[in-house]
Amino acid sequence: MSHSYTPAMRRTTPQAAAANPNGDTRRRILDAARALFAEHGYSATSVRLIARTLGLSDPAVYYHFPTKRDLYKALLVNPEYGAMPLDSLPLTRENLISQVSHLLNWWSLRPEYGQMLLREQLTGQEASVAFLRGGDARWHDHVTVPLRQLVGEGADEASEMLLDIVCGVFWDGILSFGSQFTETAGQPFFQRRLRAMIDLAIPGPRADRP
Amino acid sequence: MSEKPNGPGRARDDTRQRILGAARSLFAIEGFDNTTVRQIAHAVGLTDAALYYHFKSKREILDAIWDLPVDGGVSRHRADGQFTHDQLDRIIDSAVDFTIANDRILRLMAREILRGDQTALALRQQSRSVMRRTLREHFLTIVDQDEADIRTEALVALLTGSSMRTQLSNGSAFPAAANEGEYRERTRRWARALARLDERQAG
Repeated sequence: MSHSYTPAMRRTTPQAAAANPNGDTRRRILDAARALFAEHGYSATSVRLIARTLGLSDPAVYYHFPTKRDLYKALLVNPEYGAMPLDSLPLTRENLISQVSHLLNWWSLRPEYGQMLLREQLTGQEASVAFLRGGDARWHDHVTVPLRQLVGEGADEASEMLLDIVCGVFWDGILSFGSQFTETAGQPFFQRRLRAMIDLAIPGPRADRP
Repeated sequence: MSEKPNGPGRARDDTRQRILGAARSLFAIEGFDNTTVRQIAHAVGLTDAALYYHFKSKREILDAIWDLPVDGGVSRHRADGQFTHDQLDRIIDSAVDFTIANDRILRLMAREILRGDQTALALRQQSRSVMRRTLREHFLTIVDQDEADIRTEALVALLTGSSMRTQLSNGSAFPAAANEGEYRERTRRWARALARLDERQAG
């Protein structure tokens, strides 16, 4: 089965970002900013704090990002989901379940990113809310299209429902476990249950239940 | 001492409620940290000193705001015979009502949890455990434990995801912009599809 899952313990703390002098400065600024925004929120994080965390001067940060807003927007890039299960596997119910799990797992490896986004989305911050809406288009390509081929009628509504479920699992995860969500989601028990929940939401007879 | 309907106790309660209402709005928009006691006092036309008569600190105001019914009446639904679609609709309706009535406070709660507020986290966990217990009790009338857990978790995730996604994409316009009737109808329909109440286990 292709859904084996290895939690990459690549949590970026501001300190870890600062301790990596080899990464290029722009990258390091983005890593530190993401972690600080997640911890303190956008408005409470100053450019000065980001610069100090990295041992840089303020102008060094402004050289790469003229305003804090530019810095934040640079973080809202399309997620790189990498190779998707259905890129190489035949379209079956099992493999579609793997595809949906893959998306949730991508996010579960990046709890800080989710926390940062959710924080700003809760206050109605425009760029973050737009990012949330932009996610619908990506979901359409990765899930709705194959789901239409698999089940035909009812696929669009089922896909919307699946998106809500996956968002619910992720938001609940980061609210309940914070950055520990990566470990929780890495448990075989969690992965089994996630697959069963996705299976339940796809119309038609279930994969692993009588 | 019993308070007369229009006595001084009533006036004090009224001021207290107005303070809580203003604080709820300000915290939800500005966040707890960015809101000052002065702003809250100003919003209800009080001096700082008058506000401190009712609440000793900003934190005390927040704690009073958290004092909401944690389950929105979900726990009054008890399993009775085999789980039916009508029973499911009623549980879902309670959850939807709760979300709509408490939009601001639920948003505030999520923000405070992200800031590391343990009280807010405990409240959220408590309200979710009531929902889980209620759904699980109902599912156990038709399926085994393992299956009841899966269906319960799926429904809880659906309720969380649907309400938050609708809230977040509609911003402060929620619930009006979400078209309450349509939102309720859709949530019921999806919950029915997900619960698969027709698929039962013998025994």
